[in-house]
Amino acid sequence: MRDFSIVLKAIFKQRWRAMWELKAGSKLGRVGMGVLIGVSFLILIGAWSTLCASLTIGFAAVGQSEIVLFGAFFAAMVMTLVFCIASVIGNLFSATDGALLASMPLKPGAVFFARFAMIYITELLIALALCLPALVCHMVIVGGGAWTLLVGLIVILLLPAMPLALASLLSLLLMRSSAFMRHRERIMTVFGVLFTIVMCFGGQLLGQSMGGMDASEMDALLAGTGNILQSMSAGFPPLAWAAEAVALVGGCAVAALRGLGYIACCVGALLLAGFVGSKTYFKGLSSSYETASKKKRGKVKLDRRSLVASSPVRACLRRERMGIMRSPTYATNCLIGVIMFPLMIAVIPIITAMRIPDEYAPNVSMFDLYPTLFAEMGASSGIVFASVFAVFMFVTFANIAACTAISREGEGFALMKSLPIKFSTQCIGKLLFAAIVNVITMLLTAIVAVVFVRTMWLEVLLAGISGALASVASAALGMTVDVLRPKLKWQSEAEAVKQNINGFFGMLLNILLAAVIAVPTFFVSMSFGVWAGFGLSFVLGGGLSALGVFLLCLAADNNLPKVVV
Amino acid sequence: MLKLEGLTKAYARGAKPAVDGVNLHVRRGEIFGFIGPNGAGKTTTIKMLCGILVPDAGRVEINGVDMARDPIAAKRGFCYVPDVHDTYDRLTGQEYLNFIADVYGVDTKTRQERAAKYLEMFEIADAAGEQIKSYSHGMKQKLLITAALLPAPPLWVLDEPMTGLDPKSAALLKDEMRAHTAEGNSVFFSTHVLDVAERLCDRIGIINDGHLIAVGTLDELRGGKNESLESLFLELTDDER
Repeated sequence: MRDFSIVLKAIFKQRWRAMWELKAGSKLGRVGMGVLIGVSFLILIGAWSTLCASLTIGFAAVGQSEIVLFGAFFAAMVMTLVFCIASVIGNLFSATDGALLASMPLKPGAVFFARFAMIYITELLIALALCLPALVCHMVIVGGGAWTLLVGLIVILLLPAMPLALASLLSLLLMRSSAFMRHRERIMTVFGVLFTIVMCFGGQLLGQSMGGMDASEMDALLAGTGNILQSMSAGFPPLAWAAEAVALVGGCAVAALRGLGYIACCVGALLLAGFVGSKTYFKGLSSSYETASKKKRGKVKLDRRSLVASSPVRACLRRERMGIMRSPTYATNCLIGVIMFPLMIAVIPIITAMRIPDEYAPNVSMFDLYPTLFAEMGASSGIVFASVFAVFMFVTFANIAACTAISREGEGFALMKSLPIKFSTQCIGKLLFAAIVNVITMLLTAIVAVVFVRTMWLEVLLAGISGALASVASAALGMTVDVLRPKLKWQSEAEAVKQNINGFFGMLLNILLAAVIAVPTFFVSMSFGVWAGFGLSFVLGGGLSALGVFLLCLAADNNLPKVVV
Repeated sequence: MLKLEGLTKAYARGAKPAVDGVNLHVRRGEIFGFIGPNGAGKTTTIKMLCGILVPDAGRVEINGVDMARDPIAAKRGFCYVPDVHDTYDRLTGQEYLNFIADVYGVDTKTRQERAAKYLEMFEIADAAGEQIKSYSHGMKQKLLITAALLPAPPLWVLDEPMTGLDPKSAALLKDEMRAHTAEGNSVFFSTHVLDVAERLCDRIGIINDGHLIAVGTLDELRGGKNESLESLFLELTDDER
């Protein structure tokens, strides 16, 4: 316990002070930034709270209000599951102080738990943001008093336990087992990406399966007699126990028993992760330093073919690509959209096809559902183009590669400053990579849309051309945020990407940008057809991209020379 | 080759300057040693002359180009080996060299020849295909020196270049420094190893508490006395305190 508190205190102070340093600047700037962050969060929380309140009122009317609590707990858990692997790998194995801590007379379990606690605190913020509004709505609309508040808070505080324990266990075991492998980091990167896919797909699958009710269940729901939650959560009961404990379903004794069941699951997961962590953490960590020395020296010779001259922009682009692709933390965070968005598009028709029984549609292939739906809606070519274009703009909004391009340099930013090329040139290289990520995401989404959703290919092609052009503006906007306010002080790679507020700002600004381009395009496409919409989106996307690149270069050449590492 | 005029830097407003009004001129064809106790302002001075830190006052001129007015042209005039190895450690050594060569605009033939020469010389050619993060401290230092030598600019700025080098590599580096200055170029380097400074440098600058307290050849610094650089250094830096 002593070791744990010493390490936790040191890590916490380091991170807290780094955050404080980041906020250094003029008082006006700090206040402005605080207000901006506060307002942005309030808008999001307000929207979420409104949704929770309306759902609670609806479900309370049929005596099933715990379903909303369950939904919020489920959403928080899935969010943590999908995004936590990068945090876990980054904080446990890519921290800059790993070797230092490993060299000290500290218990491995204490160091592991201290690191785990820091990740836990970060993930807890997501759980609080998603679940507190649902809990408050439940208390205001349904009631429940001190019991609901107390049990609700305990449930929320324990929410990250199971997903984080799962991610930690898997990464600990992989780190240990891959110690002697040649391409260890590639293995970790592939694992991170696969984990994200599985969690994303699994979450969708679970969500879709929970959303399904047959006619008798629907009747029971409307009659307020059936416990829908039990049937919905059959695949993973602990969350339903938590929701029922908070909502006091079945009386105090039953609720307490269910609450204890949930707590036992969480504590059990934490203990298991702690046990494995105390046994394998230092071995996995130290093997990351050993791997290189195990490689056979003398076999690799200078490859003259790879020493070929190219332009500084291409050199910066190549360096950016290698830097991201070779770090499991960076690759998982920066490329998550490339996997997640096409997957999200694909998973809906796949699951629909799996779920809808034949008796409902004996002569229809479920993959034909969406084209049939489009046809029945009388969707015109213009609407399809505008919708696909809007989706394409949406998929570029969370490009972490752009929003953290400078922050990822960390202390190495000094090297950037000493190079005899303009900051704008270096930023163009980074921008190209971020734009390529956007274009690949769109391309994969387009393929998925054409294959699975059977969208009209010409409209998808045109939307892809406009979207690719506009994606440069999106990447430039996200990168400008980071150029103006880079986070260069960090202890682990996860802090540079996942726990970087610039990602949030970039996302908000890109939603606005998407609206500026997609909304007029939508109305023009609806009124004047696909070609008019395409023309407008092309002009808007092109114009804003040129403006975005110009502003990025201006910001880079003016602001980055003043940044001190 | 290198002119520093009234160079001043304080890390916080109102704080005591880390470097205070440093004036210095490194001529063509000379190896200039920059020495001082820990925290004297050596690295801050070097970071300012490399354009990493912006001076609060004063100017840096490299090869006739003002760093503040045209930083890109000024940076083309030198290469820099930092004292810490915060480099792109996920790149392989070879990729890092290629990156630096691209940035400095070194053509394919020259980069291949020089990379092969220096990698062989420092005995790290076998590791060139490995990621830098797997290198030892000394190997990283050798790679950074190789990268700095690749573009062959007229001025080399080396911050503690001998740290981590084995005796053979240190000797080779010293030979390269002499050969570089023999062609009319200059080397500016900081060191704590006074023996190296004494034997290698044409002129030496001693910085203490942010002030340049002595500049000259070893004989000029001795002022007719027959004492070692070490005694001289201790005497000067103790006097200042």
